[in-house]
Amino acid sequence: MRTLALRYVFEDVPRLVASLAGIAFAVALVLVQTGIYSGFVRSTTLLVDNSEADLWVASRAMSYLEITLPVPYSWVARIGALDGVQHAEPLVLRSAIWQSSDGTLDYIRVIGFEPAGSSLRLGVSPAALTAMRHGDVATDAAQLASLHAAGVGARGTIHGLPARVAVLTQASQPIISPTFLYASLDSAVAWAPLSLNEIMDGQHGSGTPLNYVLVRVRTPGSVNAVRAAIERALPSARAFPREEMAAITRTFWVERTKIGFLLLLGASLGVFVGGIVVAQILYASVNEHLREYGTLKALGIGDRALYGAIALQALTLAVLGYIPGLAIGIGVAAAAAAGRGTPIEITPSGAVLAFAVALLTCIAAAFVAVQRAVRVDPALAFGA
Amino acid sequence: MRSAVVAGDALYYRYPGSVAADDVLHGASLAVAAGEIVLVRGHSGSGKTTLLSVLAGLLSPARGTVTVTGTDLGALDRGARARLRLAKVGFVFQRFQLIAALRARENVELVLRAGGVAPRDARRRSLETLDALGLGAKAERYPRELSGGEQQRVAIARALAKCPAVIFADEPTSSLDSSSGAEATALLCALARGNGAAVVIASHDERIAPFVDRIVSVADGRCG
Repeated sequence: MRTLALRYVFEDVPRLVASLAGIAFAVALVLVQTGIYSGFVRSTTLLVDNSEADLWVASRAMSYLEITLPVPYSWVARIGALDGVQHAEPLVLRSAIWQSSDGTLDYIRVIGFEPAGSSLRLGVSPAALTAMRHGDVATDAAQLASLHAAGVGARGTIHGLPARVAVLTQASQPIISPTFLYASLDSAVAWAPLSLNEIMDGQHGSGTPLNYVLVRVRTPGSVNAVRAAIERALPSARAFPREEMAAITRTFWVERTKIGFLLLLGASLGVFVGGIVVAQILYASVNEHLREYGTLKALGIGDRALYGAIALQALTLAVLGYIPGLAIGIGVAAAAAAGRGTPIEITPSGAVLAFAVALLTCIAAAFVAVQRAVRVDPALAFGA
Repeated sequence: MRSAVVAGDALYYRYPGSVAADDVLHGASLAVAAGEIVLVRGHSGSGKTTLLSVLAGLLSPARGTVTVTGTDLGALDRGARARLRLAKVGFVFQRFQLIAALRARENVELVLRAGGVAPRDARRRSLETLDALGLGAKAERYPRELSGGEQQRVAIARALAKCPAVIFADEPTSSLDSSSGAEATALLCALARGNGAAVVIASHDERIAPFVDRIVSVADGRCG
């Protein structure tokens, strides 16, 4: 029966190609959707992941990375003086408008940090960051199109003040945030002072109000102790280990945007369409061979063997359809990354999930088809 | 009289949706002994094929009993009847009913493998049987590459290879020219007799008569 099942799969090449296209479509869609999801989730925390800070210190009111109240600049010195702290650096996040030299506008996020410090690594050499001057920005190479900038040296203005693209970074741009521009603290504050609401909050005291203080501890095992010391010294502060800060941000995006649900919906539609295609084709194949199934039943071949034969056809289609589906998924991910810098992550677990989906889809389709085969009357063989 | 390999006693059969007056079998009885070859003869619509289908366990009679090698088919469920057919019954169909996607050898092997014969043994037995039927050189051909007479010989090989207790052949010559039909019938009867199998042939072809041990006429659903 194994030989027969496989012959049925390969005897009609156009039908086989149509089946494989349906499965490949479903697999590619599942891979791309899960890849977009994991790429999106990972990209929400790129700023945190790109930092070498052991602790992110913020206002107690912080909701997630991009929604927080300002904190006083004086916290940098106070935290830096605590036992166990090796280094404390300021970080500001500001919203602003970039205007390119051709007049095009882009909504941007300015991240002010200390380029000579060690808090952020952006996929470029520390020397490139240290060489940044006042008015220089670093941005992800994939964002040049959004900024209408040709490359390093491109000029524009931020809120009317001059700015220049000085460094191109890699993997530093979240998928759905405005364009991230990394600049020195001074530049960031000059381009985008705090909004009226933030100033009215009155918590920042003297000096430049910050959003975060990034802390490196002296010894790796002392993170919790330093965290407790910071929160004791600054009751209005909360200190988050890097992983916790990333988790808060991820959770915010996943829960608030419902993007997981939307991507799941898209993938489900792909699986549904692919499943219908395979079911239709298997059903047509069974119909075409109905008299032969009748003969097999008359000869005494039982339902179990027929189930097995049709399941083998489904399994073969699943495996053969999965391979081009995987290739298409990887190709789409590579094209998206090369073209727009969109991170679509095809992970081993995503690939396994897509295979499982292909397999289940084909088995479900086979289940529909096999009903027709097992119900055929064996007396049909004598009715010829 | 030798004991019957297949026996149908007072069989009634009517197709679903029809009434008693339309019974296709109306108290038909037939018993065939091991090694015996019986021709069931009758006009078109007389019930020959239905009688074969009921005796083979493909159709269940409304009344009456069928035993194959002593097993009452009425006591078996669908799956058990299929297993009994696979083990004890061979078929030769009017239109050969070979599986188009399988080679001649594979068509014969299929039932052997389904019956639990090891792959190597199944191949050997199928080649031996095809050889005995003069098809050794064409064992690797697909049915579409064979003549009608050759296809019927493959079908006979498929029926004989598993050494069944009984073979049912429905109009085995109707799709063949006269010489091919005679040749196929002669081979079927000779090899079945050699294996000790009972053979029940349903046909209105008079040319089969010389090859059989007994002729039974069917009319109005009864065996005469």
